[in-house]
Amino acid sequence: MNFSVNLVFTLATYPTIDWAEDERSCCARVAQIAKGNQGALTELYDSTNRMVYGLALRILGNSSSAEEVLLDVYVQVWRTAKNFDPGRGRVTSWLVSMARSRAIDALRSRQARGANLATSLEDVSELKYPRGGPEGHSVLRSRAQVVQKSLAELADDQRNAIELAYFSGLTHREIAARTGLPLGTVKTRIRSGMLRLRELLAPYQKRL
Amino acid sequence: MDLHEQFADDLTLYALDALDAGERLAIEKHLENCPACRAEVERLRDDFALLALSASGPMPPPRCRERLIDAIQNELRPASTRPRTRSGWLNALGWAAAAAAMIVVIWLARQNRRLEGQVARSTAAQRQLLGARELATLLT
Repeated sequence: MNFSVNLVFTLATYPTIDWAEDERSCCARVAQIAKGNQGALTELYDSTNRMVYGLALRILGNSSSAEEVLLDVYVQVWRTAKNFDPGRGRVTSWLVSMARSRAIDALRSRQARGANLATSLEDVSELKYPRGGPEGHSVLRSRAQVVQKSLAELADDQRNAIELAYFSGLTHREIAARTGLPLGTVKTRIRSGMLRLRELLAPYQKRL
Repeated sequence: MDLHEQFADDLTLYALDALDAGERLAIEKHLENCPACRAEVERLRDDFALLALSASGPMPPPRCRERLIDAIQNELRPASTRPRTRSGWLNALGWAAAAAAMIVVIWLARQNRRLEGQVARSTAAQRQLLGARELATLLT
C-alpha cells in the first residue's frame, strides 16, 4: 500500500526521461569525433562529464584520482570513436563502462599497495547523493534523483548487494566473504534487485 | 527472445564484471553462440549505467577541460614533432652523465697506474729488504 502511494507520488513529481533524444545527440557527436572533430569531443565532454566524474569520484573517493579517470575516458573516446557501434549499446553506457573499469582498476591497485583508504573515503557518504549544481544541470539532477529514489525503493539487502558490486568492484565471492552470505544468495539478490530497479525505472524512460 | 534462465544470474554478474576468471570464460563461451544472451548483457549494461547516474552531479574542476584539449592536441601531433621538452632535457642529462662517467673512468685509470707504480716500487723495496736480511743472516 505504501509502495503504491510512493510510486504514484514519484510518477507525478518526476518528468519522463527522454534517453532517446540524449542518445541521438551523443551518437551524432561520436560519429563526428570519429571523423576527427575536436569540437564534438568537447561538446560530448560538456554534456556527460558530470556523470563520468561523479561515478569515478564515488568509486575512488578523491578528486585527483577521479580527474585522471575522467581525462583517460575522453582521450579513449577520441582514440576509439570509430569503433563505437550504436547498435550494441548506448554512448552513455560506453562512457560509464570505461569510467567504471578504470576507476575499479585504480581502486584495486591502490588497495594492493595497501594505501590508507581512511582519508580518501572521507565524505563519500556526502558524495553518495550529490546536491546542488547550476540551473542548467537541473535535468541531470532530476535524473539522479529518479534513480536514487528508485534505489531507495529496493529492499535493503538487494540495494546493498548491487551497490557493493557496482561501486566497489568486488566479485560475488568477495561480496559473499565480506557480508557472510552464501554465494547463491548474493547472486540472487543482485539479479532480483536489478530486475526490480528496471521495473521501477520503466515508467520514466522512453526507450529507444 | 529466449533468455537462458540458467545463465540469468551469471549474466547479471558478467555485466557487472563481478565474476571470477573461470566463470567469466564460461559465460563468454556461451555468449559467442547466443545472440539472446548477448542482447541481455547489453541491456543489463544499460541498466547498470543508470546506477552511475545516481552518483552523478559533482562538477569536475574547470582545468580538466583544458587538460583534455591539451591531451587531444598532443594526440594530433605526429610523434616526431611532439613536445620534446621533457625528453630534451632528459637527453641532455644523459649526455652530461656519460661525459661525467668518462671523466671518472679516466681519473680512475690514472689513479690505477699511479697505484700500480707504487706497488711495483714497494715490491722492489721489499725484495731488497728481504735480500738484505738473508745476507745479514748468512753473515751472522
